[in-house]
Amino acid sequence: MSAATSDALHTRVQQFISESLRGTTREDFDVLACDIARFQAKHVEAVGRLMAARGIDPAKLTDPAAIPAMPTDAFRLRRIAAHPEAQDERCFITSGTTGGRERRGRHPMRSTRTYTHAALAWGRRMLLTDDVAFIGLVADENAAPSSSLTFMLARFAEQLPQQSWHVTNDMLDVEELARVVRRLTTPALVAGTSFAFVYLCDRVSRLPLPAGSRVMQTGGFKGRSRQVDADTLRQSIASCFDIDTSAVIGEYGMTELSSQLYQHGDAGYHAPPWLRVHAVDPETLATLPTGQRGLARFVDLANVDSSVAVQTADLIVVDDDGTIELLGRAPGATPRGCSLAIEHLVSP
Amino acid sequence: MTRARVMAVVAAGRRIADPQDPLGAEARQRLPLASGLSVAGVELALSHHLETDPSDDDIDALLASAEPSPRCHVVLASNVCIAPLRALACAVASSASVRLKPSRRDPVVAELLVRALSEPDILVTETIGARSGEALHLYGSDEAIAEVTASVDPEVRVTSHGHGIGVAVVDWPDRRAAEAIAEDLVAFDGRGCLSPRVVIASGDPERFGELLHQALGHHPIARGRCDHHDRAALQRYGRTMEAVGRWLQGPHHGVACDPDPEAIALPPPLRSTIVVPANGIAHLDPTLVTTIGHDGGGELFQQLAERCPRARRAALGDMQRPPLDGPVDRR
Repeated sequence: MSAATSDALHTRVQQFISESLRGTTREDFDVLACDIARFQAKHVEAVGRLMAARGIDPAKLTDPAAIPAMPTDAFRLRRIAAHPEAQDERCFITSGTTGGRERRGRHPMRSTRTYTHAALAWGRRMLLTDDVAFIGLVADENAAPSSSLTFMLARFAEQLPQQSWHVTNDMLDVEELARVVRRLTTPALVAGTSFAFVYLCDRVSRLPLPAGSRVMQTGGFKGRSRQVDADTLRQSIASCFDIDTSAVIGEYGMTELSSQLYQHGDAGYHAPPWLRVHAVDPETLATLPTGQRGLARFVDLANVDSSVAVQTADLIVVDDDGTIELLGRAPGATPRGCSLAIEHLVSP
Repeated sequence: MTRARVMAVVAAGRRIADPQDPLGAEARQRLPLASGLSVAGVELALSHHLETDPSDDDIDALLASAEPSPRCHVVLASNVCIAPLRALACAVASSASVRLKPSRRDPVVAELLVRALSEPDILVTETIGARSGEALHLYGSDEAIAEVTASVDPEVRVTSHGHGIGVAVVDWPDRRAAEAIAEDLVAFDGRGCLSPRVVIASGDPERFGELLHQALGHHPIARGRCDHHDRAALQRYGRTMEAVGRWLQGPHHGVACDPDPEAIALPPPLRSTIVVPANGIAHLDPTLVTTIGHDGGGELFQQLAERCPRARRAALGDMQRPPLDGPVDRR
């Protein structure tokens, strides 16, 4: 691969991120997305294959909607990267379900600069405030070096005056968390997974946070706790920490992406200007008009060295105001008896 | 006496296989809706795959595999419409008293068999009432089996047959092998745990994938019903395989090819399969393999057979026609 071309694209994307939040964007999203797609078609084998199979000539791309989106399952089957493994600065790996039979997806990063820049830029706009204590209900970076969530939260925590992490060996240390919360003298940002919050709320009825505190809650349940619907969980969290439900902020991110979406209250999720989200028809993968339910397709400019367009199996509706409603995961082919489902990979 | 009970089940199956018999006519009328198979697919299942002509040796083996029980309860899945015959044969080999809980989605063959037998102690039921010391034969997904097992008395003797796949091994990848695998894949639209969801081919997997694609494309029996979720699952899988290898989709089938697998992604159980080269064997979980189809027992077959000693063996084209010698799943 050409590191120089990749570096130049990273620089353009970082500039786009900064400028787009200031409202002074000089670069056109479409041009930048198509330039990244052309680079990937040449240097990421799976992207090149997908374009060829779809009959797309990268040289003629002008519309990001025409970039074939890489299905998230492909990240489990192939290395989706423009660079060799030896050049990985990080390789983020998807978390598994408790069943554990499945092979996990990998997202190698030659550089995490753009990832960090994007996460901090949108995090500052949607979530972070100065001078709060960071409390992580996830494992810290040493324990979970391949978790993109932990990586992002660690970058957030670095911006803040205090930090503590409360998950060890997949177990939330509720007592230690309670001790830290009771000693707080400033507002806090408590961040963690949905199942960690369910676990906490099942054990602690009240753990008041100082006024001005916020909670960031992300992800599904993956069989690690009982399932709780989003509204109920938000209310439980607010009640437990004695904060308003509007201070419980939802985050949507995935290992295969480099950018995140945030939700305030029960409104839709907001994507940053460098992440374009469409609902697509599950049967044809054609883009749907706003208001229609379909699978989430992302064009994430921050995915410079992997696949700029990513196709998920998450059902969404993109509303007229551009916000996104998450509706859960699309079902696979109708399961029937002993026949294994599509989600299974049969590696031992 | 026990043998007579088993043979009575086989005789009931013969009536269902016979289109002139009222039971056979009813099966042909109800199964397209219940099973999701096409009319031709139902006819193929009843006339070609229903076990109506077992050998004495097969029945001996089936009887030997059965453990006597005061009562045998059977919980059936819906993926293979004729599966109730074998399940009931195994149950009556175990006990004269049988309670059969058919799949809600497809109760047809179970109901017809019980009606044909007309035995006061062989009944269709909607609930599982297994008691301590009784036998419970479970067929279905691993999740469903775990759920049922957890719900019954721990003293119930549970025998379960969960998730599984068939694997076809092709040492001599030619048109004949492709046509035989097509037969195995067309049966029950590829839904059963004997269906060849994975093909391991010597030589170039893409070339054999093309042969298989052609053979499936020429097969006269149409695939049955495909709902929105099925079509969406095929689309997602196909797009994934385009990124890692090839996806050859016909109107009634799909063939994926992965020339260099790091893992094997199972296609949706909709008359679709994945062809991988010899090194694909290393990526197979042997505990999932219920049957190995082969074209003569060459080197690839030997390799896989060593890894999966409990899997059934069958000639290509006969993977979906195991002898009536006990449960299909011997893992």
